[in-house]
Amino acid sequence: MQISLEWLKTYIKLECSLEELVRMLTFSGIEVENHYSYGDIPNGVVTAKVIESQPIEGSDHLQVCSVETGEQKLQIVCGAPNCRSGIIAALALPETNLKDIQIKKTKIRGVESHGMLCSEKELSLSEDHSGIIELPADTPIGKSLCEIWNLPDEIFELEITPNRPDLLGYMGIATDLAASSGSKLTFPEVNSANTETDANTKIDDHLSLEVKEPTSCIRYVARLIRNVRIGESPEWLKQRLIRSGLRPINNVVDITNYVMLETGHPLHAFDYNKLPKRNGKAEIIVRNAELNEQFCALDGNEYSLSPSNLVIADSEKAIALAGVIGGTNSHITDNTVDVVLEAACFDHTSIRKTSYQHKISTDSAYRFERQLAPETCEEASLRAASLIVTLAAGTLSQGKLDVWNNKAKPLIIPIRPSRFEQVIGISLTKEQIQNCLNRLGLIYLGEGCYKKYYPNSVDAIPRLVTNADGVLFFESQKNRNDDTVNIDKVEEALYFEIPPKRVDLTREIDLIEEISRIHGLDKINSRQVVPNIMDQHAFLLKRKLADYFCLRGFNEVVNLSFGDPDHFSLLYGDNSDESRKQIELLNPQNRNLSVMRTNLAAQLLQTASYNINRSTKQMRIFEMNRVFQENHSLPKIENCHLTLLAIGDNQNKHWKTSSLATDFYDLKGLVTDLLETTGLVDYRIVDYSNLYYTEEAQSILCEDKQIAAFGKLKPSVAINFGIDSLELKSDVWLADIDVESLIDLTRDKTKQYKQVPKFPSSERDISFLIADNISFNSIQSEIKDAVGNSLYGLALIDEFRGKQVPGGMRSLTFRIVFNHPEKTLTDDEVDLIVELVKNKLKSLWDVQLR
Amino acid sequence: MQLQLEELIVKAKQEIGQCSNLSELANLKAQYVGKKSELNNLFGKLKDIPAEERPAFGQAVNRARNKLEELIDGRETELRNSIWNQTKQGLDLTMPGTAYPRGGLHPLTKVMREIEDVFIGMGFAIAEGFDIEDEFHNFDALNTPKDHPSRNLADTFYLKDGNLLRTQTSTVQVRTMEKYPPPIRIISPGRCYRNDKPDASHSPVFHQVEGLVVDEGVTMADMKDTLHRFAKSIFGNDVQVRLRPHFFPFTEPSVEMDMSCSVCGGKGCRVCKQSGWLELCGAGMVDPNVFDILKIDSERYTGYAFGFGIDRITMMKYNIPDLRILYDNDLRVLRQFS
Repeated sequence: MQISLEWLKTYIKLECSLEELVRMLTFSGIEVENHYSYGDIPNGVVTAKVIESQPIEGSDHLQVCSVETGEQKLQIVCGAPNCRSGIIAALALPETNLKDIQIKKTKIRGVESHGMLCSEKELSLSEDHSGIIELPADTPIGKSLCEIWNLPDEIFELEITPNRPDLLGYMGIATDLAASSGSKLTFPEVNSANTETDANTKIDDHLSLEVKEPTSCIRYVARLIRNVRIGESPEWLKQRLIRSGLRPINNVVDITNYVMLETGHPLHAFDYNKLPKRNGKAEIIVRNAELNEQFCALDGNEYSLSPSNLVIADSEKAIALAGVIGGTNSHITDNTVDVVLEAACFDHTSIRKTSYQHKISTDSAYRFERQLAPETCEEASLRAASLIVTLAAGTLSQGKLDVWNNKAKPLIIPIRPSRFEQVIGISLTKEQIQNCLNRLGLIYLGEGCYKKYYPNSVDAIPRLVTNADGVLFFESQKNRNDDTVNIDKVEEALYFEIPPKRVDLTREIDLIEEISRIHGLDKINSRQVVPNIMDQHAFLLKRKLADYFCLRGFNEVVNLSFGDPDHFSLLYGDNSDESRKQIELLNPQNRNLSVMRTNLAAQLLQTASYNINRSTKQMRIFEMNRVFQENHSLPKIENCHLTLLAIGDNQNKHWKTSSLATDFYDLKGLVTDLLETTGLVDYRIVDYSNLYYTEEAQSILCEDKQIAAFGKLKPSVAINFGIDSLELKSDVWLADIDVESLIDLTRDKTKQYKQVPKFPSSERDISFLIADNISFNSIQSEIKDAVGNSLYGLALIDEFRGKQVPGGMRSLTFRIVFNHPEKTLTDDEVDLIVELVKNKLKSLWDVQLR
Repeated sequence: MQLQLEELIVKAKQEIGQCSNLSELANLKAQYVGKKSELNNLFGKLKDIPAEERPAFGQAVNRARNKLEELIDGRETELRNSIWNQTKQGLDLTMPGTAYPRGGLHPLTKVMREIEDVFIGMGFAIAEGFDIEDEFHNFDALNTPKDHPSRNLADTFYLKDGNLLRTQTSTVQVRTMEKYPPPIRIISPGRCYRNDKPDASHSPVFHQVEGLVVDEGVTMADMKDTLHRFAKSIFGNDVQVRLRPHFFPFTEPSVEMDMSCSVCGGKGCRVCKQSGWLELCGAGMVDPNVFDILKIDSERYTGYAFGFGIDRITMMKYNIPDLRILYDNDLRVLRQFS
């Protein structure tokens, strides 16, 4: 629904900022889909009267006008067809900046022009460029247009949820806003007393009403207004309609639309004189359509109706598809004199079916479909009648026709403050509850004792009675066995009468929702159900690490947490710094279980030895567990590590794959690949020597923290654990990951989407012989450098030493993928870059390109 | 004209028939029906032809074009089929598929994870603590009398500085209750240490999962359902449970929960010593003294705690007869669980 802030402000005092208003709407459950400023017209656009106008010689449409702004007379050239003397127009004075143009003194066809008369489009008010704006004759001149039209305005596009038909009009929105903000409401006062009626005509003498379908037509109110003068609506009314997204048509139709927007209740007006008369009386009959009854609707289409469609008919034919659309045979035209004003309430399912069946969606059907209250018919009818009398000079005939079958009693609902607390989790006083609901228009009836009642049961509304102590309660319903209500035991409740417009409020829980909304959802203090104990990231990352190595062929082992101090020195030598970190048991079971382990490697080596002795000579195993270090007080340092060990081939021998001995690059690949799956990217790899064989070990640093190390175990250490690498014909490979650090470094890091290249990539391989002592790292960085921003991928795809390669040299092949962010690289361009790379390599080192 | 087209087709037919590879065929296609082909040129001449002859001419050219396309497509199918046939290898389909390396978690970890997941599914959070603890968190806070035998050196490992290795993960419960107000709903899986000589059912290092629920209105009935559901998740839907009165210093009432024997289903067998029941866990309602020690309002809150050994459950689940097998890490065993 589209609403104008200026119009809304006529009902409710809103002194808050725009942001605050949006917030208020949003938190009372009215979603603001969009809002934008409307008619932010510069002050240089003023009202001005065209005093005279003359065609310019040699032009078929231009006129030179003399225009008066009160202070001065100006000469203006104008090309609009409706520009003529006597009208009041909107004049943009020189030096005014409009959206597309800056107005200047200028000469058109040699004639001086001191400004511009504007169309709506030129002022960005609409797309209308058919002519200049014409203002009513009584408009004061020399005033800024903004002042005259109450601009700029702010237009809101609101999403009204389907359960709230009461919000489908300005008054409904204002009521809800007032409830949540506490602002004061001013609604137009409408009652039959303050609308002048024509004492001489009685509606009964001119019109009769018959409702044949009381289930589909819940209420029908008709009024007769005679001798109206059809014409344009006043400017303010037109402006309000336009800003609410409706097109002005004529004063009577505009008023029905205006009242619909105001009250949320659609109305319709018929031309009384088009209805056939019997005995001097026209008839309005609400009936179902005949099968295949033809009906010409105001949208220009002819519809073939069926008996499930409710129609408004005269004595001969259908004149409107009830609640959906009017007919061409009875609508208000320029010649209309007498008007029948319809304010009815139709059953929402009937309207929905008809609207869906014929695919007609109108503002009227949209509202009726959502179930309106029959009570509003009268206020909407009176409001529209009084406006027609005032603005279209009609006279209201005495009386009204009003058929309202099965008029329902107002709904009464008890709410228990205790129940509110039970559901929402905060406690409100009775006064606070009363206050919230009163603001929404619910009427407080008094305190009583709670008894559930069933709105859908046979005798829907139980009788509210008072006992001797003045306590309210529902008289027991028939056919229920809960007659014996002991008032002393039941809970305390507040009884409220629901305003008819609030068709969505039928149960206690609905009231609880309203109170929570009006009191403010932000006032609910969240209650912790389960404390935030679990470190999900650590939990999941640990699982991921273990799973990763399982899928790479590793078996997990589990060893005791006790270490052997002798093993410790085997690994670390006589490093006393390290040994001081050991925690010793007071009562160990024996010496080889007498300290808390500081590493997992020693036991992995024992496990390996155990298995080698049992003829398992190829193994990939890991353990992930805590290791311990002294810290003088509690907690001791208890860090989770993952250590892995590989001996022999990296997979089982198989007829199809030539099996490979585990080597340094296996370990390096495993560890770096793992780190990358965890999302860690900014790490460095450096050479490392500690317990590992110094020539073939590296470690990985991230933020200057060592998070992993991998390499070959010294054969001399291995043999101390009973593993003879010569006999085994395999080295022992170890890698260690500091899981605790990895957890910290990857916390809250999620891989982010990167756009894939817009242009196709191309690739080239370059091969060259180069001396052994030049490292891959340095070659790679030179290539990267040379390719520059066209580099998309770079991989070493081959290393070769052999007969054709001289000693001390190796052949390397790099695959370079090129992709330029802004264009498709041509073959020539790529070749040029490759040439550049080759030249650079040649200039740096003694390379032989192949 | 017609003649010219027929000659073209004859010539094309011969060339297409002799064509022996796909790229050559693509060239022929361009030559005969491509944009610059003779045939396309003829279409261009359409405007030079008298209007009345145009339809017939156009039809003739189109027919020729269709014929040529048919020939080319037919040959393409022949060529493709012959290439595909040549590349068929005549495999011995009975040979084994590629062996991808496959490792696996240790049985203890597998069971641990399964238990964690069951409890996560029931809304529990996982809490972790430390292996090295002090006497307060391991004993005092759990209402263990000062002279209780479990505090002995023969039962508990102590460090030289007087701290100890936790004998149960209940220490995590204590630390959680110290740090967080109720409601609490946690399990704490982890390692425990007791000075038992290793044998078929004992290990100085073993694994436990302990659970703790503290809230208003928590009852033993809640505990019974939670533990029963846990047992069903691990051992199958038919598992029955029963509570037996027992004693633990930190719960009152204390119980042990048995489940129907997973081997015989309750009929009685060697594993359950003919009783039909196996001990599953110890449990009970948190002793008000524990709440008082930890300054939790024992009138307002109630809670239950339970604990079971992962090692035992792993043995039961996989039918492993000796606990030491789990700590030998013999790959011939571990690979069975890959």
